[in-house]
Order: sequence, then C-alpha cells, then structure tokens
Amino acid sequence: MNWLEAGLSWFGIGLISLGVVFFIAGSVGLLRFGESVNRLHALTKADSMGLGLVVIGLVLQAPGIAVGLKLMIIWTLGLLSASLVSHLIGQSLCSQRRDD
Amino acid sequence: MVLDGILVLLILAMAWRCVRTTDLFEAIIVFVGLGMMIALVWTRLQAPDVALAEAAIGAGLAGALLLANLRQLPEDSSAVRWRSSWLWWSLWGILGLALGFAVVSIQTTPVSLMPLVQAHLPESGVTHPVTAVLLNFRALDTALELAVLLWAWMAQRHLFEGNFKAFHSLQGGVLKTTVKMLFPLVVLIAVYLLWRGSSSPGGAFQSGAVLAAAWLMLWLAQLPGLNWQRLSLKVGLLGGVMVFFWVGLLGLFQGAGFMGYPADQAGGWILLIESVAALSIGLLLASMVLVSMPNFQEQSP
Repeated sequence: MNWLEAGLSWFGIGLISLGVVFFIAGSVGLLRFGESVNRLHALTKADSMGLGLVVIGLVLQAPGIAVGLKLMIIWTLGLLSASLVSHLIGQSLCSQRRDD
Repeated sequence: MVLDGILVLLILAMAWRCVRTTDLFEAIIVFVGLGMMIALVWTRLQAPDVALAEAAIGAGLAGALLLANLRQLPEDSSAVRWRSSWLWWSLWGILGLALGFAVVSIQTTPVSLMPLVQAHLPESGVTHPVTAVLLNFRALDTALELAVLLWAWMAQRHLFEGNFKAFHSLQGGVLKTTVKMLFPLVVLIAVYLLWRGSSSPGGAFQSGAVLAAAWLMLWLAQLPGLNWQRLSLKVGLLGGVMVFFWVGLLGLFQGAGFMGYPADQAGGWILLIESVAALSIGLLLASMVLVSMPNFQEQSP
C-alpha cells in the first residue's frame, strides 16, 4: 500500500510542476505579447490550466476528503471568476475599438 | 528562508516602485500587489488573521477605493515631478536612522503574552486566542477601530462633491448571471468567516470586507441592491459602534468594568457584537467605495 501512496504523491508533484510551467508561460505571454487580446489569451492559459493542474496535484496529497473537496471548490471559483473577468476585459476592449 | 528573502526584496522593490512611479494608475496596481505580498508575509509569520484582513481590506477594498477615486483626480496630476532636494533626503534620512535605532534597540528576548492569554482563555467566552484578545481583553481597541472607520466614512461624505467624468459601464447577461450565482455564496462565506472567528482565524473585519465585496458586485452588475435611503441601513451603519459601547456600559454597571463582560455571558455578547460589527463594517466599506463611484444615485435628503 505504501508504494501506491508514494506513487500518487510523486504524480501529484509532477502535476504541480506542470501547472507551474503553465503559470510561467502565461506570465511570459502577459509580459511579451503586444495586443491586449493576445495577452488575455496567455493569461487564461495560466489561470485555467495552471491552476487546475496545481489543484489536482494538491488534491492527490490532501490529508482528507474534506480538504480535497474544498480545493476543488476553490478551483471552480477560480475558473468562474477568471472567465468572468476575461469576458469583462474583452467587452471593454470591444467597446473601446468601436469608439475609435 | 530563500522564499522569505525573495518576499522581502519584492516588497521593498514594489514599495519603491509605488512611490517612485509617475503613473498614478500603475501606482495603484503596484499598491494592490504590495498588499497581497504583505498578506503572504503575515501568512509566513503564522498570523492568518492579519493576513486575511490585509488581503481583503488592505489590498482588495483599498485598491477599489483608490481606483474609484483615480478618475476624479485632475489629468495633469499624473505628471508629478520627482524632486529630491537635500531637505527631502535629510528629513527621511533622520526618520530612517530613528527607525533603524528603534529596530536595533528592540529587546532580543521578547516578552510573550501568550501564557497570560492562554491562562485566561476559558473566561473569555471564545476558544481562539486572537478573538479573545480583540473582543474581550482589549475590546476597547477594537471598538475604537470601528469608531475610526465610522469617522473616515463621515469625513468622506463631506469631502464628496459629486462631479464625475464618464466611464465605461459594464453590462451584459454574463456579468449579471454570474453575480446572481456568486452572491449567495459570498454572503455564506462572510457568515462562515464570522462564525469561525470564535475558534479559529476569522472575525468581524474579514467578514465585513467580504460582505462589502458582495454588495459592490451587485452594484457593478446593476442588480437591485441596497437602498441607501432606508432608515434601517443608516442604523446599520452606526450599529457596530453603538452596540459595542452599550454592551461596554452594561459591563460597567454589572461590575466587570467598562468593556468587560461577566465570564458566563461573554460568549453571547461577543457573538452579538461581532455580528452587528461585521454588518456595520460591510455597510461602511461598501458605502465608502460606492460614494466615490460615478452614476451612484445617493442624494441624501
């Protein structure tokens, strides 16, 4: 049984590392891309994929089912607010373009 | 250790940037980031109560307040020249030296009050030491904090002139539907933070900040929110301070001293004070941000 726990733990660490890569890529995109829409695109990758991978990795290491469920709720809220904010920024960009 | 070092360097760099930058918008964004970093430092220092309050009020609501007021500042204020005269440097140099001296002269063996708090925890009516200190042992400090908030609110109402520039209004079904979904959840989180305060990190200020955010969300999505003309709301704004001092006076008559409670009733009084205070804090913070927003219809009679 012990090797299963160790394996899951290492799998979790791998997922978290992959999530961190997404975060770094998203941040680099946010800094380097010129257009606001492109930068938004890069940021959403970090927000949804990166956060998701980190949360799944943490769930695998969670001490109990309650902590794991709380982490999943945090992810859902993160997804919801990230997509809402992206929508609002996009809307604002569109209306700015129409004004110009 | 490496993480702490990076955090300290980041905070110093961000604080410098926040003061040095000539772009006011950038200064506000950096200030919000700085607040989050400071919240992280409080977490590292194992003070989650302070971290929660810093993240919610210091970074979140203060940032919203600053952004809302940015629009009212004159355009050319963004071009403030950075002047470094010898007077400036000597003034801050003396202050820096004094601060450095104060840090050096701190006792190396700190006197911990924790044993004293732990010894009296059973009499306080709560099981979380921070809440026991804030609402029982040093209740007067917390009451005065609330009074300061009320004072700031009143001062802002009198400074407010009400000439706004146009801004992009946010509309659309996506925003409305999401806010409708999130609102009950956010209120639930506020109540949870309040309830948790008696046994673990959380409490009136954190809960109030979350409540204020919920009301601001409703207003931003142009959904029917609070009616600020209602008398009950005006009572709610004052409620926290009033209930605090009434309960404090009651303690004086019962012989427990001003702001003291008899040990067997302490839990109930603390819960009452915290609930009303959280509501008051939420209303005050929301009102302070809303008043500085354009298109906010609040003509007081």
